[in-house]
Amino acid sequence: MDVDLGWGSVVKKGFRQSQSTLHTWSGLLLGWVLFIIFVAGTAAYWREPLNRWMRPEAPRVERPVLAMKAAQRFLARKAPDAKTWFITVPTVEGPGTYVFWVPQPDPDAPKGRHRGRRRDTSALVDATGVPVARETRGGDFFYRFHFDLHYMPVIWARWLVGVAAMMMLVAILTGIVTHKKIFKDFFTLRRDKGQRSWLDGHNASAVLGLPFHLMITYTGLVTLATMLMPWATVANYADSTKLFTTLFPTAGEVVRVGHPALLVDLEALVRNGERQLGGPIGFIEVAEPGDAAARITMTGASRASLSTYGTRVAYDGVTGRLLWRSPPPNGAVTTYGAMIGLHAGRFGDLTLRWLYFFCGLGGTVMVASGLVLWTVKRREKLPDPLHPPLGFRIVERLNIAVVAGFPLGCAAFFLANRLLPLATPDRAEREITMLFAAWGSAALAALVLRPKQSWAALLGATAIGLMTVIACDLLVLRPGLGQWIAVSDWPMATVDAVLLVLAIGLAWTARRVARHRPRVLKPRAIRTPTNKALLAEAVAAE
Amino acid sequence: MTVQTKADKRLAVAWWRRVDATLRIVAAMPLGYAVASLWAMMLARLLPLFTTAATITATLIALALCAGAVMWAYATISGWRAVWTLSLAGFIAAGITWMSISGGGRL
Repeated sequence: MDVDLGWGSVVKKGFRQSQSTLHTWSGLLLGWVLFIIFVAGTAAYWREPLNRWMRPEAPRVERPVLAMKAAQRFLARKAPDAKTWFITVPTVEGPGTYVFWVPQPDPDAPKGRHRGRRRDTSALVDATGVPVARETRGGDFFYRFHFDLHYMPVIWARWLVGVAAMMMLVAILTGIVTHKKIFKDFFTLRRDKGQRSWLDGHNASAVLGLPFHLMITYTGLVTLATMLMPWATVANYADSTKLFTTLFPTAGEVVRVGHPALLVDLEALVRNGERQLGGPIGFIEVAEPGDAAARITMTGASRASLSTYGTRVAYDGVTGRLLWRSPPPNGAVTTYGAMIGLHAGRFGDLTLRWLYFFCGLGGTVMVASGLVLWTVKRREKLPDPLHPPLGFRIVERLNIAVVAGFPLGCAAFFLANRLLPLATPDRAEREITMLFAAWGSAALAALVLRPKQSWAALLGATAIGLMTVIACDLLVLRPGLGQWIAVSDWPMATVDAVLLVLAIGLAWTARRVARHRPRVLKPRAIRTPTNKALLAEAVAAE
Repeated sequence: MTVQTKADKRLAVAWWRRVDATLRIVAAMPLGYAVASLWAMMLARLLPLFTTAATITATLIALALCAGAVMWAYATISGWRAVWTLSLAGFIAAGITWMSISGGGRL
């Protein structure tokens, strides 16, 4: 297609070319944000196993029902007069029961007073009913960071993540359009060929995981839709809370009567709830425990169905009589819930979650290789390769600061979890501070050192950090890696195994980068082609 | 004389390219989102479904439309065309939504 600009000159600009431009820039502009979203999201598929791995003292939950009864005893002791208790029913994967409670409103309290720290009204109770000693955010950190980021107001973070996701969707769609031979690229991996190898690596990771990338990006937007795209709601509802009461129906307010009464045993009630809902219970809300008006609402576990909107039942908290069932959701609500469910992957069994995890890794490689490809492509066209323009240098250094720096931060986070004394004040926040301190140092190194040096140094440091974590688990931690293997506690040992594989991969990549001699040498033949090798090569080209 | 004209033309083309790029960015980002939002409103009013279902379906479609609008902003012949076609699409949706809402029936 020739474009007449109206000045007698003609600029060649085909459809594919225009979409290619869009692909490049929509991918680059927030590519660094996308990279950390991908890393955190991939880690978050192991949220509960990581929650437990980062609290290794907590005994394994063998029978979730008993752990939940222990949590009920804890709440009865700790907050007998609370307005509401919230209990997340424990699973065999996690470290115990998450509970939080809302105290009775204090009429004498001055208005607008800070409600106190969340820690004062929440706890993680282990299977024996004792609060877990090691204070940490665990896998929850990755889950929240995936869309709330950190050190910034949640709403800003979600808008930033939402805009990044929309750019990702545009990048994926334009990437497909730009592709001339999508099927052939599936099988193409030209090794040690500079830019061609990078392109192949980017294509392979993108095309292999294409259905996943497309699904995860679109459903990711859907999870934020009420904030990003509220306009359909505005068009139909003068009061948007009406939509939400349809989405999340409740049995209504509970009014305290003031006569104390004994709360029914939760175990029997959960069994009944499971029969009513035809699947496991995930979440229990106890309104006015200890009062004659007490009511217990149970929500089906999100692992029980594809849709995240679990059905609910409510019981009288004293007699245990069934009071209410949530009406069956309509098709659109189920579709919406299913999209969020597809994104979070909670419905999946272990096999499916491994698949999600590997697809997430593939997406991470796709974003990283795309970012590096931007510099590789441009380097060959630079008029003066020794003095590249400022924009080029910013992208080059930011790539290192994020692609090599953020994993280093994650390694520091795990290391802090193992090394910080248990009595450290604000321990959970300190771990996160360590993540950002390490990441900040990495960014500084990327700024100061030559690119080739900083790639090798940061990738190598991450490998060493992860190895140290594993060494801690093996030698210092009690019970540690040795015991986990001895008692076949595979979920715990697997986390160390995965970290070991990642560490080896990173160390190997760092070594390749450090030893690489660009171009002048004959390309070496290496047997196992992986995307990491490609990463190493073009990284080394810098 | 001819050399002069050629240099002039080159400058003019460079300037036009900049204007074109700016128009496309405006069409893609704020305008693309606005058009998707207006279509979300219109679809929410018009889809022959229950109100909740229509609202959710319209939202889901609008997210995809937003990406489509961005692509259109770059695919079409010129930045100007991107701006006016998207504006037109937005005005149509806005008009229909306005008529529908002033007809009543908002919860």
